[in-house]
Amino acid sequence: MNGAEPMVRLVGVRHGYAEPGGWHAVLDDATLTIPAGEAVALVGRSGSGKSTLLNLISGIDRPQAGTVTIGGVDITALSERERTLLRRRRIGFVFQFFNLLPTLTVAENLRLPLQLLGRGGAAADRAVTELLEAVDLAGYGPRFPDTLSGGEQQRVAVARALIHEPDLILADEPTGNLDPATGNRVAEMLDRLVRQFGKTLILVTHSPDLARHADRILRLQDGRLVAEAPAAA
Amino acid sequence: MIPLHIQAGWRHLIRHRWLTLLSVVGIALGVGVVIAVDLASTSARLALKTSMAAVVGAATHQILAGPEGLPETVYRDLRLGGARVPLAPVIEATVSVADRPGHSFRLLGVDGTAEFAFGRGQMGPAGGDPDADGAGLLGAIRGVTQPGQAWISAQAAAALKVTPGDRLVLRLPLGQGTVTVAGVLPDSGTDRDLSGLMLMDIAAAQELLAMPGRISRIDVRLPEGAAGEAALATLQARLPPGLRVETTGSRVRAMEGMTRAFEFNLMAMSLLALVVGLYLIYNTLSFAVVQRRPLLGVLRTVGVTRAQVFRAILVEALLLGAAGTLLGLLLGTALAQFLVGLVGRTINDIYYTLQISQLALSPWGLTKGVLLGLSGSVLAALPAAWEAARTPPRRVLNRSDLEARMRRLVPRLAAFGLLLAAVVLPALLVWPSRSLLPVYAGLVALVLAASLVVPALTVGLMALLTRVLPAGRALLLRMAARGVVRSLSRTGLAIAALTVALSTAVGVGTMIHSFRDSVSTWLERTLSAQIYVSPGGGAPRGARLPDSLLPTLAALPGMAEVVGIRAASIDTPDGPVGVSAATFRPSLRGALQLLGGDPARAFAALADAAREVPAVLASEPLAWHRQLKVGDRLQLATDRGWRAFEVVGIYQDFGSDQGHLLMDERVFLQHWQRPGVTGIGLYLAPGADESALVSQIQALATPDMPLSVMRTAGILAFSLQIFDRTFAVTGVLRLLTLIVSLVGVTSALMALQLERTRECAVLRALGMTPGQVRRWVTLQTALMGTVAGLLAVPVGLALAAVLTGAVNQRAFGWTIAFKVAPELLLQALVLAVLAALIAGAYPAWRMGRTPPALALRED
Repeated sequence: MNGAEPMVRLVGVRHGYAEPGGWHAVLDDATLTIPAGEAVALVGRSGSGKSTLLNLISGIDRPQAGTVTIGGVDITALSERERTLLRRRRIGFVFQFFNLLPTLTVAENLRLPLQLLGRGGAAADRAVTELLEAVDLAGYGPRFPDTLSGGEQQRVAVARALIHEPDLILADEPTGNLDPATGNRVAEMLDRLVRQFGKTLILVTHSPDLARHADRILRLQDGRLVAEAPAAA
Repeated sequence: MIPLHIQAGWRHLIRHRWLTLLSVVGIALGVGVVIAVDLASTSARLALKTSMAAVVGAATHQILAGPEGLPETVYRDLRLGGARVPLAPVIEATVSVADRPGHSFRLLGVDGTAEFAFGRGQMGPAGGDPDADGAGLLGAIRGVTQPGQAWISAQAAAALKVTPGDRLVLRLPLGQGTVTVAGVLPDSGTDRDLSGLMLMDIAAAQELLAMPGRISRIDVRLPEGAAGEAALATLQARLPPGLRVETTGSRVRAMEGMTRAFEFNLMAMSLLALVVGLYLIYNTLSFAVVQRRPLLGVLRTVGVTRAQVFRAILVEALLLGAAGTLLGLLLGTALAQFLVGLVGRTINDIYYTLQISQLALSPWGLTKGVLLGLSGSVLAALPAAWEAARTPPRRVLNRSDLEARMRRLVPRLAAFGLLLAAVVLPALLVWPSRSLLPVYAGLVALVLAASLVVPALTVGLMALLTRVLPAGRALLLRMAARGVVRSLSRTGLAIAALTVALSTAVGVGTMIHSFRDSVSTWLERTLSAQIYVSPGGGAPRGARLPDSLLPTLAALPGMAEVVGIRAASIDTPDGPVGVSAATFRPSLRGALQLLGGDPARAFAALADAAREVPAVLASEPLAWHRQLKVGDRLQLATDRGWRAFEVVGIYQDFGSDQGHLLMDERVFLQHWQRPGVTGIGLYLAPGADESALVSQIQALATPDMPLSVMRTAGILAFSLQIFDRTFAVTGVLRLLTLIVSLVGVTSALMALQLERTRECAVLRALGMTPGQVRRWVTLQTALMGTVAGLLAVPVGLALAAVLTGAVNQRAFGWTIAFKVAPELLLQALVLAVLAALIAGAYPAWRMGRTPPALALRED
């Protein structure tokens, strides 16, 4: 990746869907640039298009107009398979509902992204151990997700999002399903680790407390991205 | 108005329409197979009844003698002696059309005048006036002046492409002859089938069949009640010795009885398909309940009662059942058209000549199918309905609750299943009952026991697999294995359905393999001669060759011994039995394996033609059906009336499931004046040229005496071909059961797909390609198939042990040596995985297409 190249760039992105009364634009000429290493919080009402924006940035969806560039690669020009492979290499996800794979142990959940990239062996084992320690879950490796509390599951999800050293972390309401105290702990951990590893973070949230962890807050309003206020340093 | 809580359920079924459709198809296949088998069996029975009705007409009784019939003077003497009841002389024989394999007729020679009292073959109403109706068909028959004129049905004329005036060359019981088609018979009615009938004037028939002065029987029409009984007594008193009077009904019943065990076995196979179909309904409905647990929880919290929930689930089951049953009726009727051909062919191969011209669509047969489909569906839904209704609202909302409970149940289910098998299996093999019903109940119990062990075995095997996999490797396989266990309430059922279908295939396959092996060994021992000669050219059942052929054959160079075999169907008080007679020289004795009686004493008694009570050997099935032991006596209808014969030995015989008797040729000829031999065995001198002899014998054939000359290897192959043809129906049913279970596996996997949409989406979001997701699902499916295949082998072998040890013994009286075919077991394993992969292909494709965006959506 070229060092001067922003991590995420959206230019004139339009996306919407047909409805009985006509066309409903979810994103209308959305433009955004996020340099590498920046943490951005994305806020907005329910249905304002936050998840749609994450889908477009992660390559899960393709915009109807405009371009989305990740690390200099125009992903709107990529095939579905190429976008999947890009996601596998360069993006880490943290979901609201944790979405750990129930049939894999905690350690195996962490090992999965590495395995998809063909990375295994002792290096992978070491990475799993280190990240579990980093999220204060050392020794949890052999346990299955359903034996963990919500907060613990989300910490595993954070570790899973980071383990394959992606450039970009997408977190969709990562504390939305947790009590405030636990949510706060997870948020601090996410913030700390993202900065420690020098990753770019896009954080979708309703919570002002969580948004404060970001370098910049963007609001999605009428399909456009509006800078809200500089976040606290 | 339909209550909203019921509407909510229906909408669920509509939303998951593919799944709903699969269960409807499952029910339809199950019901369809049962209906098809029932229709095919009923059609065969009806065909027998209507063809017999055409032959019997209004006759209530028949005066019979031995297989060679009786002198026509008996009829004349009865008439002149003042018999006051309607009598008609009849000649009856099975003939076949030369060069038209498979086309045979029941030839009936009738007296045009006497027939008016019988209304046979719709030639005129029973009791009609010969003078008033004289211009009809009977008039034509009475007016026959040309020899060899015959009337056949319009269907037969069309099939043979003949019109009045054309000639037909017929293979007769002894030789061959020609008839001229004089006209067509009136259309068949619904109650009697004339399609297989050939009608002739009695004198013409006597001439054709070379039976001068003899008739097959005399038909009698007796009034009902006391008058009839008095008339019967008078008639019996006037009969010369050696003749007997039998009711026509007993003859039809005896023929029906011949195929009963065969039909019963078919029905049992079709019920197995239904059992697998019921698994499917249970699977669908229990899944529908699990899927709707949140919905049901909400309904219960807002005040819907347990009874309402229970009823709603049952109503759904009834609707699914109704749709499946309706489809099953159509499917069954279509399938029956195909099965009836296979059933008819087996009956013709083994039992008697029969043409099934129409499918017997009886309202009762269809009603049975409807009742079975509907009650089966409701029954299969009961556990799911009970489960949904009894769970308190708080727990209904907990999705993982069912799986947790299922896992707790696993050891208990397995223990119960093992206990059931431990009790049922030995009981089936040693219980001395002669009835088949408890055996089939036991088989179903064994299948049930196996399905109860399925979940425990699945958990065990999957645990073993994840343990042997190297740590941190093969994550996909590990996920697949754990996924199978995690959704045990669904995967367990699908595996159980596949296990049932496969174990049935292994069980029935092993039984057939053992049976075939026993038959083949028996044939190799029995066929001790090198060459066999029999009437050729598509000769009818029971056709004979002239005795003069025996010395001609014996004079051929290289011939060591010529053994003529005389076979006939002889009446006993319990129905007809096949009798074969020959001179039991040492060469022939070695071909027989005695299962009861001392060989030396038995053969000495057999050869003693001067014995006060002549000796016979009874085949194993005959001894079983009639409960005969060595030393017992059996009454046979000889030319001179009933005569007792002593059973001096019981021999192994797979030639007839009805049973057979063997006796010395001289004893046979003492009691039955029946010229001609039905088969000839030729023993060659060492060094004789077999091929040259076959050519020489073939050269002896004439148009009047077509010969079939076969070497031992040819007969062996031909016999095994008939054997395989007999089990073709079973093969079709096995395939159908497997298809039903494939639908089951597909439906279970589609259910899983719905449940795992989020999991798939997460995998896709994490960077798994659709191909990798498909591989994950495929791995899971293959694991399910492997478990089913592994369990199907021991269960199938247990079923085979029961089928060979108990069912064959009780249905047919045969003792079969149990023989395992390793290739059959391997085939089952491969088939299991293959079947599961086929069933999983579509769900895997669907899961591969799961949009990753779903992972980001809220619940």
